[in-house]
Amino acid sequence: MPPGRTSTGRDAAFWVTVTFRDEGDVQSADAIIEELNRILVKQFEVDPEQITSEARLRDDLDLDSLDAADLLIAIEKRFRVRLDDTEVRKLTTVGEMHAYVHTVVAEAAAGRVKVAEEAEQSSNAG
Amino acid sequence: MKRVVITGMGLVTPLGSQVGPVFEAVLAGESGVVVVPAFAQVQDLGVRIGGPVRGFEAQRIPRKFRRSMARMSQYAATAAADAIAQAGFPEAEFGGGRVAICAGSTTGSPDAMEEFFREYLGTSSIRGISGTSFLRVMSHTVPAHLALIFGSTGPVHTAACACAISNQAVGMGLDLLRLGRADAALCGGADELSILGAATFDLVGAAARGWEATPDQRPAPFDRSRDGVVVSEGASMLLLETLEHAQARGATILAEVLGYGESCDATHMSSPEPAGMRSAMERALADAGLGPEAIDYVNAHATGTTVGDVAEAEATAALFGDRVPVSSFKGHFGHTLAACGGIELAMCVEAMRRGVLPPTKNLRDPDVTGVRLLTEPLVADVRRVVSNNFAFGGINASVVVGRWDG
Repeated sequence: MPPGRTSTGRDAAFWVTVTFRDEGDVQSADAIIEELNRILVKQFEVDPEQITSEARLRDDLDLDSLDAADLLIAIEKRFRVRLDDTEVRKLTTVGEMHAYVHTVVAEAAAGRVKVAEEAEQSSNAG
Repeated sequence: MKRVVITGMGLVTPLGSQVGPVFEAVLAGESGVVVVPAFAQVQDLGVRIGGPVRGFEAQRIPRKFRRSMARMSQYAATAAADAIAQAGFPEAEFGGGRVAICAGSTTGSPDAMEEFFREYLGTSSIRGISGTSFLRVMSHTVPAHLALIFGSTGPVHTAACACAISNQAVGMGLDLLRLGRADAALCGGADELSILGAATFDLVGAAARGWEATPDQRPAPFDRSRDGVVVSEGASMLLLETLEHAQARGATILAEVLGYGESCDATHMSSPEPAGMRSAMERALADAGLGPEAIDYVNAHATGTTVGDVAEAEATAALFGDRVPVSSFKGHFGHTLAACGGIELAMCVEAMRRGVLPPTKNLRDPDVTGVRLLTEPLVADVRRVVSNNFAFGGINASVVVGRWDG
């Protein structure tokens, strides 16, 4: 789904407002890492002590293909982003996952700001 | 043919999960029926009460199994683990291909179906739907998970005829063991409380509506005031073994499965037919090589519907007259659907072992004649019982179980 368009019919500016108000604390790299780790612990019952940047998702944390599919969904819902399935399949460690999700979240936020600015300019022009 | 015995029984019910204490609760006339707040949130649903399982600890099941297990499968696995433990059954045998799993649920998980379609219909996309959804929705979700958890490499059979599932599962297991296709079989059923289950009976006018102030007063099988089913949830698993297998490993035998009979009315999808019910009981007796005079107790399916209870009483009276004591346990548990047959068989086994028959709860003013309905506990020498279950589709399934005197 392109930035600015939603299945609910809300306009882009609405989501910028909601997203920044609800999830402003997950925009920084540290906050994203913390949130991803929380998902691993809460939903996938990973031992917090096992979560390191080098830990391998499959071999160390015992997450298999079914878990990978559910992890993708959990991340997309939590951060309101769309992940690239092909990129996700390439991730092997926790650190790689942190970095990839941070990149996607930052890009999505930038995209939403841009759309909102355009919407505002368009509104002012009208 | 090989003789078949019961060596383990495991339950998850609205009245608890240990066979002994659950039997004592039944004998004391306790009820597992309570107000279910979620039902009041559904527009036009008249049902307000149900029999939920309380205090269930899903965390007992490792996450790797639990992630794709609906509540019904979790209940079934817990009941199965208890049955295996009671039987002292060697877990290593599950990998030998000689243990069968015969089990089922009325449908796949209603919760999982709701989750799937809520996401899909809301977005017209499958993005966001868990990859484990289908594993909870599929019709063999309960037996497949049992096989996975216990590492059982033998046959996996799905019983699927709704309220007759547990008895059918026992019938399937009995056949497999008699024919020598397996040495042991985990047999039973499970269901989870859902809007779908409550609505189904409400829509056909067969559910007890209201009763928020006194939920324990419903259902009322055979009573003049009866006004329908109360839907509940739970699981029952019985471990069946060939007699020779049980004896060879020195197992404690709880009871013998003497016979199984099944019939289909083939007349109406929801309206019961006494002739079909009677046929199932007759076939079970014939399978056991027994006549009606050999039976000391009939455990009725009687769910508290206006039509079903009368039809069953008529069929039972035609076969057993008014000599044999009859009672139903739906007044205690509500209707646990796929689980009810196994729960009731476990109660029958306990009744034979203890020599006391529990009466029907909420039966004060009998509305049927020709059968000996119990309204008080009856101390009796109970050697053999018939237990009935009937399902939509005109499916009738009866099991004959005998006390094991060694």
